[in-house]
Amino acid sequence: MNSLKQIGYLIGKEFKIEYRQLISLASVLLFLISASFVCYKTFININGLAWISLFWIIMIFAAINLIVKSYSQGYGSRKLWYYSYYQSSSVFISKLIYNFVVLTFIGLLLWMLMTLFFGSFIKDVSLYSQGFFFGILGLNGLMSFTASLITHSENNAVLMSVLALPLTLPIVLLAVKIHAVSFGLIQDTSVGADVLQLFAIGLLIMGMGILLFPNVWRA
Amino acid sequence: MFERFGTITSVGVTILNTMKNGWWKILGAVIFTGVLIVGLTTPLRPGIVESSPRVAETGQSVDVKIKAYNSFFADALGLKAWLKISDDHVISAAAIDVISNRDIIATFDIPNTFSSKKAKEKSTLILNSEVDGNIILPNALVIRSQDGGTSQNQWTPFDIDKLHKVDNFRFPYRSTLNETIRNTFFHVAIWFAMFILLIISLIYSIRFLISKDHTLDIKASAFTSVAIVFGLIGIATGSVWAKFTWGAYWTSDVKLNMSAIAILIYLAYWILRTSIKDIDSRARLSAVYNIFAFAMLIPLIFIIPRLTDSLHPGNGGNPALGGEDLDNTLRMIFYPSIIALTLIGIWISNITYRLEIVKEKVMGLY
Repeated sequence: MNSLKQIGYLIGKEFKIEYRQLISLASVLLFLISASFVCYKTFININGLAWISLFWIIMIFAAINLIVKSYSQGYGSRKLWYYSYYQSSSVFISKLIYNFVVLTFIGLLLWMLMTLFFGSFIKDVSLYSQGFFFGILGLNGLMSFTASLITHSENNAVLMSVLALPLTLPIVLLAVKIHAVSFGLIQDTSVGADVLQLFAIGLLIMGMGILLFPNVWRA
Repeated sequence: MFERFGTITSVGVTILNTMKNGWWKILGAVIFTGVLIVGLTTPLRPGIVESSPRVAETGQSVDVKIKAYNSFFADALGLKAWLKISDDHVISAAAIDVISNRDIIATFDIPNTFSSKKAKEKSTLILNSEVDGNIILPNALVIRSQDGGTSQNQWTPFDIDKLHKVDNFRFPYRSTLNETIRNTFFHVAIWFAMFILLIISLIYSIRFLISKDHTLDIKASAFTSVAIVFGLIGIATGSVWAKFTWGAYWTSDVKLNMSAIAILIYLAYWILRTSIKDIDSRARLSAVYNIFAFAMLIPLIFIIPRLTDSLHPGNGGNPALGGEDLDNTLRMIFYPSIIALTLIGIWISNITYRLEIVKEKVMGLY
């Protein structure tokens, strides 16, 4: 079996497992709805910058909640099977792609909810989407990698926040800046360079992840 | 007699052996002592703190009050003062009244017209004497053009041969930095040393993943913990400096916050190490996180600070290690200081590493 086939098969497997245990996805969706509703009731009227900040803060915690689970749901028992049949890079890449799809879905839902509750401030939809997708790309790579690191330790969720939150800062700051430009809050003619940098950071994280993952999962 | 001689010889041999193996430790300590002594005792070059008035008009006779720092006007032979607009447009002071070593009043007869048609020109104040050498204040006096002056004076070309030069070892005077310019040897150098220690730690982590030699991981962790301490010292010295020059211990400046985040990332490395009980997976995972964290440090330090304006040198058009801020006298102390702090850092890391090894042996883990 070549690695592309392996990745395809593993992604299918992830979806199947998720479908069997819908509770994890449902809990993240419920988290999204309740978090944005709490913000709606506490903030009432918000400006553009608060909109962007809220969006990314909720997004970070949704990503942590979602991705911590992707390595815990019976992963321990499946690991030996994965380890003996598949290449480590295939396993990690399949996790990356699967998590990216789910996170994008969650992000779109959050976007919808925020628009519903607070209204839309977006002036440049294409720029907004670039910041959105590349930001999620970086967050996803970072979280998937950190989550794989902490499967061996106790009190997972706390350690995940401690390890991942400082590292999210470059991604989130760039994404917030791109979104602020797309909202027309600040003027910047060279925002294309920022989009490229965000994409490059995402690629760097995923490359490091693929390179280092073989050392992580051998226990 | 001979026994005593033997003891002395063996002590001598021990000292010689220590010097042979630990010469770099002695070198680090000696250089750092030198940096402390020279860096803290060398006086600053004289400089002008303030001059008044700041505005004058053509054809006027102005008394410019000058307040200087570290100067010796009372003892100075051949004290002269000039106002300079360009190399061809200079006037020398008609009279200089020395009040004290730090204060003088220079009287300038400003000519009736500029040769240029501009409404106003900025002029540089230059003082020169045998004792102090050159003292320069750029943009000291703005001269406005005005009709109907009564001055007899004319602009003349600047005669550089008349200037006295003083070649003694002095640090430059910068108006906002003042004496704190010496912090360059400690604040900036300790960040450099921290970065070098982090790179050494990264190399040990990579070598650990290749060879799986358990001691390499302990070395990596020892270097990282010393680098964290250096980083905290760097933040503390920078904070004191910021209070002096910017007026606050902590600002929302991007470079400050990025360095705080960098410290957080490495504190997370330490938490990861302590939270994993199994010794093999601890070594492997913390090595992996160390490499990953270092890769993430690059966008944090080299990309994000370029996004926004910053007060900190090295960002937003502020020069850092270049231009006028780091002149040759500073370099002569600054570079040795980096070397000395790096050597001392490696020394402390080695001790930390040996302590860890002893701890593991005592606990029977290794």
